Parts: sequence; C-alpha cells; structure tokens
Amino acid sequence: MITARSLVKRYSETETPAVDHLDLHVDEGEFVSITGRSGSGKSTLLHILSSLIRPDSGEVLFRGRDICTAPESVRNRLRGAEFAVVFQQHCLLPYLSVLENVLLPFMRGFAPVGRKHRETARAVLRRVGLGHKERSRPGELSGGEQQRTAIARALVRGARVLFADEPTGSLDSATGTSIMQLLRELNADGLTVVMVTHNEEFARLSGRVLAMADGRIAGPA
Amino acid sequence: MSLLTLPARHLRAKWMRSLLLAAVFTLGLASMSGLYEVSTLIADNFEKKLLSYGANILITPRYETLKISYGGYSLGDVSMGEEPINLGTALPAVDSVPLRGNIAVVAPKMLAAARVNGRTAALVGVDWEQELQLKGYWETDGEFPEGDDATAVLVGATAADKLGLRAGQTLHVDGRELRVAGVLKPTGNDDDTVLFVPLSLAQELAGKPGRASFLEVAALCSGCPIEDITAQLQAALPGSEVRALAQVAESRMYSVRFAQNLAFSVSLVILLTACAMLVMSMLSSVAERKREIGIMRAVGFSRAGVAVVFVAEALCIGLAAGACGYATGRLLTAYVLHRLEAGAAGAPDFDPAACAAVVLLAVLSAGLAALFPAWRAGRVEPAEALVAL
Repeated sequence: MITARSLVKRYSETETPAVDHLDLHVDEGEFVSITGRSGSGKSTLLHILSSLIRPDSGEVLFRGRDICTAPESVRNRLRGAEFAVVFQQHCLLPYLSVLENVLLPFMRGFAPVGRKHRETARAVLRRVGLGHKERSRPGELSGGEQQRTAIARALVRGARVLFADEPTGSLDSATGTSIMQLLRELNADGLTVVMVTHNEEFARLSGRVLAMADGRIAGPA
Repeated sequence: MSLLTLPARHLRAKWMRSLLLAAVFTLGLASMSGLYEVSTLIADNFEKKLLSYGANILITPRYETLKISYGGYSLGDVSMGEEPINLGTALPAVDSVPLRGNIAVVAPKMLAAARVNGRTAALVGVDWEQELQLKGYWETDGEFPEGDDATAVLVGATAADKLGLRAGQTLHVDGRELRVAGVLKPTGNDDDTVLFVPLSLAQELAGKPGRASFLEVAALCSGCPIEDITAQLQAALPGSEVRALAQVAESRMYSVRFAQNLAFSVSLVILLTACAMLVMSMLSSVAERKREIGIMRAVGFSRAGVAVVFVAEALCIGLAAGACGYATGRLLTAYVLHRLEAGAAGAPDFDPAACAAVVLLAVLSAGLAALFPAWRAGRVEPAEALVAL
C-alpha cells in the first residue's frame, strides 16, 4: 500500500540526516509500529509518509503513485481523505466543540457541512466512546478523551491509513492502553495504522514492530 | 458549519481581543467619517456665507469692438453688435444646465442713466431678492426693499451725498415718484456711486423691457470646478460671454478646500494607523496560532483555505467596525458642530449611501490589512507547526 524508497531528509547541511536512505513497505490493513530513541528520525519518517513534509530525495509510493513529487493540492487531498494523522497532544481547536473538531476535515469550503456528515461524525464519536460528549469543549475533556476525539476526526472521512505520532505519549498507562485497544479495533476493521512510539509494550500490541536508529530501519525490534 | 465557522468561533472565543481590535478600527472610522461630515457641512455652510460677498461668474452680452482712427485722429473703440441679454431666454437657459444645483444666485442688472431730482445719475436696475442674497455685506440706515417693491430705491453713500437724499424721502426719476428705502453705508466699490432701482423701472428707462445689461452669478464650487459651471453656462448661452471671476472663486475655494484637505489627511493617517494595528495584531495572531494552522493543514486545508480563515476574521472586524464607526461618527459630528456652535451648518442626516461607503471602506481596509498576515498564515508549513505539537 505504501512503499518508501531511499528516503533522505536533512534539516541542515551540517547535521546527519534525520532519515538516511530509508526503505519501507507497509501493506494494506497492517499495523506497524516504529520505535527508537529520541532523534532516531521516526517522527520525521512519519511526517514524510503522511505527506506533511517532503523528503530531500527518495520517493513514497501510495497506490503506485509518488506522493513526494505530487502537487500541493494532491497532497492536501490525501491528508484530507486517504490519510489521517494523530499527534501526541494539543491537536484539537480549543474554541470548537468536540463534534465541530471531528467535523473539521469537512469545513474546508464555504458550503455548510451536510446532515449526512454530521451523522457520520456522531457515529464515529460513538465508535470511540464519546457519543455523549459532542457538545463539550476540548478543555472539558480528559487527555484520553481528547486523543479519542482526535482519532474520531482522523476517521470521519473514511481514511485508509492512520498515522499516529506518539498517540499515548502524554497519557497515563491505563488511558494509553485503552487508546491502543481502540487502534487495534480500528485495525481489525481494516484500517492501516502506522504508529511511532517510545513505548515498547504498546508497540508489541501492533502487528509488526520496526526499530529505527540514525535515520535508518535497524530491523525488527 | 463551514469554513467561516472557524473565524466566527475564534472571534467569539477571543472576544476581548476582537472587541479591542474592532474598537480601534471603529475609532479610526468614526474620526474619519466624523471629520469628513463636519468638514463637508462646514464647507457648505462656509461657502453659502461666502456667497453673500459677491458673484463669481459674470454673464455679459457678446460684442466686438472696433478701433476707429483716420488721418491721425482717433475716435477710440466703438462697440459693435451689442444687444442686452434677453432674460426671457437667458434665465431658462441658466436653469437648464446640468450643474444648476450648484448655482445659488442669478442676479440680472440693467444699467440706465436718468434725471434724479433734476440731476443726471446712474441707475442700476436689480431683482431685489437675488441682489440682496448676493450683497450680504450691504448695510443701510433705512430698510431693504421687499422682493416686489416697485417704488423703492437704495441709494449708494456717495450718490446720496451728491443728491442730498436720505432714507424715507421721495425722489423723482424722469418724472416718476419713488421712495428712498435706504441709503447704503459706504462699501468702497461702485455701489457707492449709483442708485439701485427695481429692474423693471431700469428696463423701462433704458427702453429695453425684459432685458439685462449683464448677469451676476454666484455658484457653489465645492462639488465641481468653477470651469465646469462656466463651460455649461457658455454652452447654454451661445450669444453671451460667460467669464469666471477666477480670483474670487479660487480664493473662496482655497479656504474651503484647505479645511477639507486637512480633514482628509488627518482621517487618512488615522485609518492607516488602525490598519497598521490590525496588521500587527493579525501577525501576532498567526504566530500564536501556528499549532492551529498545523492542525488545519494536517486535516487537508489548503494554504488558501487557511488564509481565508484569517481574512474572514479581519472582514468581520471591518464590517462591525464600519457600522459602529459610521454611527459613532455621526454622534461625533453632532458633538463637534455643537462645540463649534455651528448649528447653522445643519445636523447631519442619515445617509444610507454614506453609511454603505464607510462600511465598504472599513471592510476593504480590513481585508487589505489582513492580506499579508493571511499570506504568512498560508505559508506556515505543517511540519513547522508540528514542531510545537
């Protein structure tokens, strides 16, 4: 589904590359965890795969097409529909309600969000266990509930791939476990998940674990 | 819910900041619309007052002069083809020009010579109503004639001395008995040496009924150049010569335009300051909201989509500030007119077109001021924003 070839990304000419001639393949429906120390380049890799940043060289093929060289509009569309990204924290707009945050991907144009999309958003919120919180503000939610809201937003447009950057990083162990359980359920429903995490215990809950060091895949963890 | 929900919700969430920004912009627009309104009202009023200091356009019959000399002996210049102006056609022609609204006074004059109490004197036939509007500086020791007074005479100061006339006396003009309504106080110009009589009497004495030697016109020039009015009058009166008394018009308009230009310049500085504050505030908002921009970009918002959120916020502020600015400007105008004791200038009426213009100006200014910050917001890379996450 996603194939990365010879990816290189440097943030400055003098430093060693954050991602250094990296190759990776993720199959459809897979749950892949990428672990590694801070600075190993795992977040940079995730951002390249999710089309948030472009690599200096190399390619990322999604369904056979190189998304690194695709125009900005195509990459915007990918992020809006096929891909979804979940971050460690603070990824909700504080002045929108939970339902509005989930509907954010539909609010990119002047046309009002339709009833069908609202119903979808409510269904997804129920799916992540937040059906009763749709009117709440992010500030009124616990860390785990905020992360569930972010996951609901990631799923609302029917994304095929979920990129999760330390999704349990700011959560306590019990809440982190519940989020991992949710990701496993979503993966079981057919969602491809690529997760970056420090937590090896959570990483082992995924289908495949890769270790990164010095910008390269060091091998299975 | 749509893209516009985001600016609306953000403005509501940051209501204090939004309110302050709108207040600054409102203040700028209120000053601008208030100053404009005050300067316009005072300029109009000022110009109307200036009208009473005389005409600024002169309409005379078109004629040619011929210099006659023969054998070293000169007969001087002889006028050829001079015919007094026919008021029956000239006045409707003046009424027909497109800039008629700017013409405040049309005062016809008929010059004649007559025997007054047995001595020869120069008479000027006038339409009392028009003449008295034009000669606001006249003062008399008697009374000013009413509009249709056919027997009243106003006597210039020097002429009154020579003829021994006083207010209330009767006098005989070519055998007709008339009444001295008043003797004008010295003016220092030609008015001192003549007798002002009803226009119809001067026409009768000159044997030119329905005619005038010339017309004096007082035009309001704040809305258009005097040259435009002159050109239109000339086109309407092809048999006459229309001349702008440029010095009168220019000196009159200088004062009016100075006040208006000063008000415009001050207003512009205030508006630019308000716009600069909006730019600064929005730039800092872009810096503060990098995370938010990153999230929007991460869920698929385009650069333009992000920029629209910021521009829409500025437009909302501009819209609110425009409406409040116009309303506050009107209050300011009323207050300033009161303070200047310029009640005669008239209280400002609600003008929907002016209100729409102020709102449009506010929205456009705010939109333009937001362009650069919005462009900056659109240029924020998701990765750059994600560093903060």
